[in-house]
Amino acid sequence: MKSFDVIVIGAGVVGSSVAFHLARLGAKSVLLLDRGTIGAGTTSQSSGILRTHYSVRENVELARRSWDVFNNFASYVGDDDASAGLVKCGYLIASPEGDKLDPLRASLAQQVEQGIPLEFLSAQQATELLPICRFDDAAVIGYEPEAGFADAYMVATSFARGARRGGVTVKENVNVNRVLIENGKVVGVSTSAGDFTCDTVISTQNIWTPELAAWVNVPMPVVPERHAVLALECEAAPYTFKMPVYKDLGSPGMLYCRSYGGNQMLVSEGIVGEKLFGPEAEQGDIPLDYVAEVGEQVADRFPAYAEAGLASSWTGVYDVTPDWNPVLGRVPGVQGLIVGYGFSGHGFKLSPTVGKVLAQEALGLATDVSLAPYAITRFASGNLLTGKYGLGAVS
Amino acid sequence: MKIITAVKRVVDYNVSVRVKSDQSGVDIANVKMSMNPFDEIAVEEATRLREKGQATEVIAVSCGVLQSQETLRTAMAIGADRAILVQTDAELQPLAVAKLLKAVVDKEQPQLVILGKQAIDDDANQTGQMLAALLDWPQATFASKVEIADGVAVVTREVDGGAETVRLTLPAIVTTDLRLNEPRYVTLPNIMKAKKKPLEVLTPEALGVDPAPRLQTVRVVEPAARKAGVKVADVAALVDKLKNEAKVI
Repeated sequence: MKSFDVIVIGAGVVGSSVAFHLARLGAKSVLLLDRGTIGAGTTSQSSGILRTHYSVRENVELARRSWDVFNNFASYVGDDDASAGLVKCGYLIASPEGDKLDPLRASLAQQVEQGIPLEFLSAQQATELLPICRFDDAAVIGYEPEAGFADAYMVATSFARGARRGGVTVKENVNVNRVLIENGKVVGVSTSAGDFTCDTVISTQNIWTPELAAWVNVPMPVVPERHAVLALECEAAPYTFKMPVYKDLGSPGMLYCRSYGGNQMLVSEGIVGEKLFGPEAEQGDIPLDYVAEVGEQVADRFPAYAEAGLASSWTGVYDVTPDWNPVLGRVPGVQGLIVGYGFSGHGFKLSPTVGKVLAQEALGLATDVSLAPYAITRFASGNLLTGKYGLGAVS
Repeated sequence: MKIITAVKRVVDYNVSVRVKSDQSGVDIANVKMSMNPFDEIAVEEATRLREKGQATEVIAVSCGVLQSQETLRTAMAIGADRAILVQTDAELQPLAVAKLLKAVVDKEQPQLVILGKQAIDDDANQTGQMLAALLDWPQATFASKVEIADGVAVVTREVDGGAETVRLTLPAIVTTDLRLNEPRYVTLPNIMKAKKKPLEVLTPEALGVDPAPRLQTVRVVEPAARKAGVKVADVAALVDKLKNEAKVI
């Protein structure tokens, strides 16, 4: 039976990052497994928005450190050919008077305090950056110049390539059937490609985490939620690469929008989505009524888009926890098991740092960011990490 | 001149389809459904003919389950003026669809019926041809260009090795190929307008058609999984394998 020091289950953007960082931090033998191919699950469905705006302080820290990686990606992964597909167009977030205003003010103030480059804009300044949008009712507009969007699939495959160069064994199209445990301690995994022994398993199984929960008999709350994304095209008002990502806290769906393909708008709702009964990353149906409903919200903010055409649409699935924040760290009662799941729609933004801190935890090193707030025990203790915006992917 | 376009609700081309465990068919529960892409081209072509003033009305027709109304609404958002759903939960094979469409054609008396050349789910490529036979109308399949003038359709067809141009006396059947046009995006205002356009629901019984399948599906299986490759030691080993194992050189 082949033996490894650490086995990582799930080669999405988070698992690939974990494997990369394990090798970087000196792990001797690492195996990265995926049921499909690298980044082909929910990673490939990511809208790719990068920002540090969170109401949860620790998330800001994870996102800020991750931004530094995205911003210097090729040199970070040590591969001149690697690209994160980064478009550094900035991130605008605005709220009118109402219940989102106080959380926005508080989150922006916290970011400033944490040393994040941040500007408060007037409606006129915001209009100069995003002239296709109206800001007449905005009470507060925050602007992060060091933000934008990138490509989650490219990042996942680049991390996996870097991991391979660092000596990690990557096996695709392998199903893990269970984690092998003896006397409360991880001793290996049983897979469709045979059994492998190890002392440490890091699970980054996303919406498939309930499988792990059943193998080790520990509750791991997570619900798969499907979210629809639309690409709209409006000849009169193209959303160019130079225009910032925009978060509209004033719309009923708390829309986020970004440039897509250089002239289209990628738009989606940042609220609770369609709960699925089981882990299923397949493309879901998007009714025309839903397109009309989101289109109406877009047109309210981007007047020219009242005439926009639907260029394409797709769905992505989030692994949502009860407080819309991830679980990171060791699982009490199962020695040698570490999890990183429940990213609730912000896994990609945090993936470089999450990969690093999980690798640090596995290797017994001090973690760059404390994992304590992300402990799985918070669901039992009731000490939830709910963001100031409530449930939804702002957090 | 009225034009009928036939549209089918199919599993979206971005979905990786899965075969049901009992091998009776493909599992379409809870996955993205869309209009068959060739039918989108048909609706676009009919709409362009009406916009050019060569047709007075475009009627989109679909046969199948209640949810096909969504597909018809998409057709009306592209430009069809009204829609007819022949609603049934029964399994529909091409001959049954052709008979249902014939019944609708008898009722509506169009001069032109435009259909996709095939549907991306069963890839049968039969309905248009069967409908032409049942109506005893001329047909031009795999169209890449359609011109209408003085009761005649001049159609360029995609054939092996090039293009063929045929002249049909209307009424006629045309089935679409990919190069015929690039369908427009449905716009938000047109999605709203489509909601207000008439959608009539008929049944096979009301049309006097028995849609019962004539063919029995024995089983549906996934393609064989690709086998893992092997590494060969050197060029000589590769040549040996190509010669003696693969027998390709």
